[in-house]
Amino acid sequence: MQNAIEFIGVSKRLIKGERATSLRDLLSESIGRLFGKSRKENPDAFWALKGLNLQVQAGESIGFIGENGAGKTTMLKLIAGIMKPNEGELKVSGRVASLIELGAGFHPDLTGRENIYLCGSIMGMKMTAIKEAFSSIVSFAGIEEFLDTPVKRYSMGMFVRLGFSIAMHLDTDIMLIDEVLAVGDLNFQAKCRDALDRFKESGKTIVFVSHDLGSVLSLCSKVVWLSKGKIIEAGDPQKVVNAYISHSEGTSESSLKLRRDGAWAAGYDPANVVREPRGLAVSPEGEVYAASMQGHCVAVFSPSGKLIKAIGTAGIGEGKLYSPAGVAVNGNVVFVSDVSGACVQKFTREGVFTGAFRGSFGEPFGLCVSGKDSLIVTDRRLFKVFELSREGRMVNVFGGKGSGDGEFDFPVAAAIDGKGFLYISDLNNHRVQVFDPERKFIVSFGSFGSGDEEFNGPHDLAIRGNTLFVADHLNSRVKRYDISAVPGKPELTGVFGLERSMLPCGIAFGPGSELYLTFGGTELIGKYLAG
Amino acid sequence: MKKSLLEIWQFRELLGGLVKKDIKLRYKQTLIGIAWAVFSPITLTLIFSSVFSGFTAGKTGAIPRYPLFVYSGLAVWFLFSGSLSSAVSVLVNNSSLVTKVYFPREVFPLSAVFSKLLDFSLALAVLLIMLPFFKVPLSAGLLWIPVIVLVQLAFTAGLALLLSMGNLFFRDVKYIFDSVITIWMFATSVIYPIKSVSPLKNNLLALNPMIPIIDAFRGAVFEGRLSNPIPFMLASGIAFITLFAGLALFHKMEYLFAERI
Repeated sequence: MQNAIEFIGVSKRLIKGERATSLRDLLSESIGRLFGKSRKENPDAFWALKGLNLQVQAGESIGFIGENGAGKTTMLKLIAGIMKPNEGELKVSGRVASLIELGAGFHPDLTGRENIYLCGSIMGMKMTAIKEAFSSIVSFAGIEEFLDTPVKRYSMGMFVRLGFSIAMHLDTDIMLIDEVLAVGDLNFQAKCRDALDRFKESGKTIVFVSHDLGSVLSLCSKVVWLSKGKIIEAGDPQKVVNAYISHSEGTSESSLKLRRDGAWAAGYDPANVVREPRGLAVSPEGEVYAASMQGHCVAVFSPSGKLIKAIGTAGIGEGKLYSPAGVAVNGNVVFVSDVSGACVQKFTREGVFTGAFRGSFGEPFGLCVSGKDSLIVTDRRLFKVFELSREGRMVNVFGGKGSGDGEFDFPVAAAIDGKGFLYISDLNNHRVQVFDPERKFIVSFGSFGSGDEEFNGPHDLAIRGNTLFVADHLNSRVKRYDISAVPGKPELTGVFGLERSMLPCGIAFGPGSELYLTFGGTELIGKYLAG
Repeated sequence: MKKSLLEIWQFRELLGGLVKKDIKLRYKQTLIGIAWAVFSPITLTLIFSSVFSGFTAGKTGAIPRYPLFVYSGLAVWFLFSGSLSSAVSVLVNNSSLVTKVYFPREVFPLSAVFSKLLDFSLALAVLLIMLPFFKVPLSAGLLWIPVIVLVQLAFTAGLALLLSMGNLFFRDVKYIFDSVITIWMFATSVIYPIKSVSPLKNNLLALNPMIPIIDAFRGAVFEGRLSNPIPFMLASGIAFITLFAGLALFHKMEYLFAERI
């Protein structure tokens, strides 16, 4: 195999903080040298990369992980030719395109159309190639209606989608990707991943830098863990990621900690049953049911973390699951919401299909069973919440798209407390809304941000007694609330920080006080003990 | 050098795209649009003509057709100074691209220069329209104009490369440039013929290629010939040396841009 990229003892020195860029410094330094003073070492200089030896074969997809400041981005910039190494040699063969920052080449005052041409040529595309790919770029980004709008009026999502779409149409041999997959809504993320898979299949080299370990695992055939400019471990993705996770858990910074149960270190299984687990449910006996979006089934684990069985087979139709997102266990019944199948299906705990509710769902996502024996389903495409009887009769529908009280923008999870109050996490509005037993809106909490009281894409909810847990997806945190004051406002009682790269999705209580979490884009299910 | 020229050639479409963007943005959301391009040379011509007519009229050495003289000088000068003043900060203003995407960085200062060509062409068109009113015949000598502009572009591009790079490393460069360009205008025959005021004779000023360039331009317009072949040849030499020095130095330092910006 031919090497696409080869690092031979590459070192790169960078300077921290503000650079001295005034003529005065230059003058004083040259006068100093004139009088025989030796040039002094800049105290702010540090080695961003030190003695890096690495070969990347053509057609390989290699992932780089490591904490901030490990040298990942510097390494990408060296490959892209934006910087040159201070020592060593770097050989790159083939055309390189860097997706280091999406939309970096956009000019806010130009229209989408104009920016496609400008940005495309900045990235090295020929005019004829851009013309050819133009309609494909536009439809991939989904901005048909806004082609002649200046991009300064675009939403952040549109901006990033357009940037990604242009990058995906580059004709290149080596693609450098830095932290760009965690953008856009879930649909777009899936689209991105498909595009990258196709890119990979066409035999091109991908260099991927990310904190999202799940994406790294699903995309890369080799993973390198960098720390302080040096390679700590390189090789088999799962092995390196596990080593990195167990290392970073020891160095987590949050005041409150969730301790990972060793037996549940990783739910990864070779059978690929657990791929992108979302919703979680735990039976009173401690069996864990995880809706596996990309594994097209509900994976069932023993309390000790052993995979017991998979409920459902891949596909659309009765007893088949295509992208199961939510799961709830009630007595001997397992309810599963299937996003692409647009239905909710019933199975026995042994895995026998017993019925399906079709209703008028768009994309049913979150799921919970209420005390009144009804089933609550959140629909992320219709922006509504459905309440069904156990027989599948529609009892109540409420919501609609918007950001007002009782309106939703991507409702992804529902949970019900002992008093019958319903909690809905409203992902794109970055808040959780609370409804009374008559499903009248009472209160909402949270807003966009990274503060304690703020959310960035709140996902699943778990309730036990007066305690509510919220998986604050993109903030990599789990938040605990005391809901005894509801219908008053719930009170924040704890913030549990996770490793930055772990984006919690699903959350459920075990029979004890343990908490199970699933992580976005991963094959991981974690079991945590508070304290 | 050859490699860097080849690379710039490969990115010529990008250069064209950046020039187009510059032009589009400059007059977007303005009331009179592209007419701004000739607004300031015309205004300044009116001002200078009325101020200087007082003490040049009737005296010996008075400049014939003074408004035309000033206007042609200003048109050429604005191509020079306008290009440079947008080039000096062009790399710093595009720092996000400089630190994130790889392509020959030369295209930034070069696009700053080329995008002023449209303004100049308009100013030139207005000049040609003015000629009959001042009883200047249109002659074949006007064909010298492209040659003169080419020499000027080479000189401007060389300086643009050096200045944009200088300002990236030392932000002082922009401020120094702002003062120097004003002084430079008065040391060039823009609003008066430089010979009429220079006490230094031509020794020092011979190093200023803008004097022969502007003189040559006026010669082509008014007399229909290249009126000062030797000084103009010297200026051309300086211009192309500046261009090659600019390209070579820029290419040599380019890899430091991302970390020093």
